[in-house]
Amino acid sequence: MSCLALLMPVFSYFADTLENGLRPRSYSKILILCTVVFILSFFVSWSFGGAALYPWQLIGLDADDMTSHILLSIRLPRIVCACIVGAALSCAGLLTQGLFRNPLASPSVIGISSGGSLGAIIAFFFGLHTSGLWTLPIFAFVGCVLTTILILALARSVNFSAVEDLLLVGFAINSILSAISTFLLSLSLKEFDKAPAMMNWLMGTLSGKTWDHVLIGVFPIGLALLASVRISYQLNVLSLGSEVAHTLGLKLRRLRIQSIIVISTLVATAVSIGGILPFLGLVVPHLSRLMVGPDHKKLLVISAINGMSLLLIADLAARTMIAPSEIQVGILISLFGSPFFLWMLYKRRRGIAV
Amino acid sequence: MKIDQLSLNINDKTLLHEICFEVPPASLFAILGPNGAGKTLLLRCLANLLSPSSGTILGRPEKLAWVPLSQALPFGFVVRDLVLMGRYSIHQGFAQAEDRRIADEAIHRIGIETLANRSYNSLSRGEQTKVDIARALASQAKLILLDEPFSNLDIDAALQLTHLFHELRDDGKTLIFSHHDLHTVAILATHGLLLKQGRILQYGLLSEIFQASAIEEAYNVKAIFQQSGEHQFVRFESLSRPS
Repeated sequence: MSCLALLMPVFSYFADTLENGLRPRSYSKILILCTVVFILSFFVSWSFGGAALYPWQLIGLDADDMTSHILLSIRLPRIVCACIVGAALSCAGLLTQGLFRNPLASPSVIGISSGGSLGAIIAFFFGLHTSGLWTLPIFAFVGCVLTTILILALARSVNFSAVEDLLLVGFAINSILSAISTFLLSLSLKEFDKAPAMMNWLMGTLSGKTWDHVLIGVFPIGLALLASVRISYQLNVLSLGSEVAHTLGLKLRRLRIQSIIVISTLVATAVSIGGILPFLGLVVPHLSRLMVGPDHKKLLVISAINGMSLLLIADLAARTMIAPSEIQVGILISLFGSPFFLWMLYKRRRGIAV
Repeated sequence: MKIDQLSLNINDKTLLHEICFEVPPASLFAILGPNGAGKTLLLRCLANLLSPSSGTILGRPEKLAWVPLSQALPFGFVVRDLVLMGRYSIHQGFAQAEDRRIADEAIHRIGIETLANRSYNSLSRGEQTKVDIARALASQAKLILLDEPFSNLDIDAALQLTHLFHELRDDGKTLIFSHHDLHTVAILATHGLLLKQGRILQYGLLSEIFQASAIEEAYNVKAIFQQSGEHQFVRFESLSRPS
């Protein structure tokens, strides 16, 4: 638990931002602060776990095979995966909020994550997960794309900038997709090579991640993040409403298609590595918005960094809280993310612009 | 700008019937009519947000600006950033010093310097409309289309906006706006058209369309004109519920 004490200044900073809300702060200062927090959480996560081993022991004279194996082959790929997944989900959440012009949207709230995980579950169900490294991500990607298109098609008839409508549709889509996922899971409960892996998927975990998972994640997510830099300012313009954006010369159709592809790539890759990690895509962009304001260009960078830090800390807590056993990090995030979500709804109801 | 035989069908219902009119350059053009007459639909067609089912719009400027019914934005952008977005088609997200200068000029022209660093959502409706117009100026649009800019404004804000409209017209801009309130229109516009159930009843100079018979047909009220010294007053009486 000593590692958590080290992070107290971070929590108190977040609490301070929550209380005082939008305050003009210099972007570069926030950027430096967030980066420092990230580097700190990276090394703390690397050092602590079942056993406290410090990265500098690798270069010391007393380095043994066990230490370097734990640090380099078990812990390092896991925390690198946490960084990749954290950044991907946070940025996907940010882009979803921009695309739907709604600060309460996120891939898990409106069902994109469920679509991705259903894709992965289908691959598992038919035993395809063993047939190559890229099978799961591709199935998850198809699931995400189809779900996002379905939601956007519904958005034509439903006004999605109204919070309640979006949440209701998300609730319905989430229920349908989760029902199918659970059904497939129940059919495979007796198959011991599949069921536990599928369960882990649905709960979200980073345990047992290897360099292979890093390999799956790093390229698609890197490319998608580069692409989202291009669309981030367009989302600022879109926030004026599609009509104004159109007259300002924004290519709406192109922006929507690009956003769907980028969001789906991010969510699909993150889901195929870590399963469903709800609320990360909702909480991180929102916290970041409190820090640097609504500009998606700045938010993209800050959200990516904060997403990495938050998932690193959450995963560290998941590993250490009931050591030597582990909590699924997805469960932990839900536990803390849901009250945050309720708090946002409450703030909106009181008419405070979030 | 000339609109010829413009019709709009949605779901087999004809909502605009063969609309023909001309908008003179540098005019304040009001689209009048009771609720449900098709004012906003016509405005959307003019703004190229809806494609008409038939008919043509000739001489529409390449650059136009749309000012929607004022509403809260999903994210709390400050005024300066919102006006800078008017330059999007030029800077594509990478604003140069030139873009910032033009945006600041637009803010100065509208006289909202004191609001420049405030969040849009904290402004009053009248102020929000001014910000939207400042963005239209920053985009250097010749034609500005406004959807009900005067609805829900208190009298002071409405007068300020009217003053601004006349100044912009003097700068050579054409403003077309929808408006449902007959009481105030006389001081607002130079030209206009009167719409009822998708058909034009009258159009031309405002003094020409402001006739008792046309108003009676469109709004189902009796307009009584009274001369008092230099000024002409108009009083309305309901025809459906005699007092």
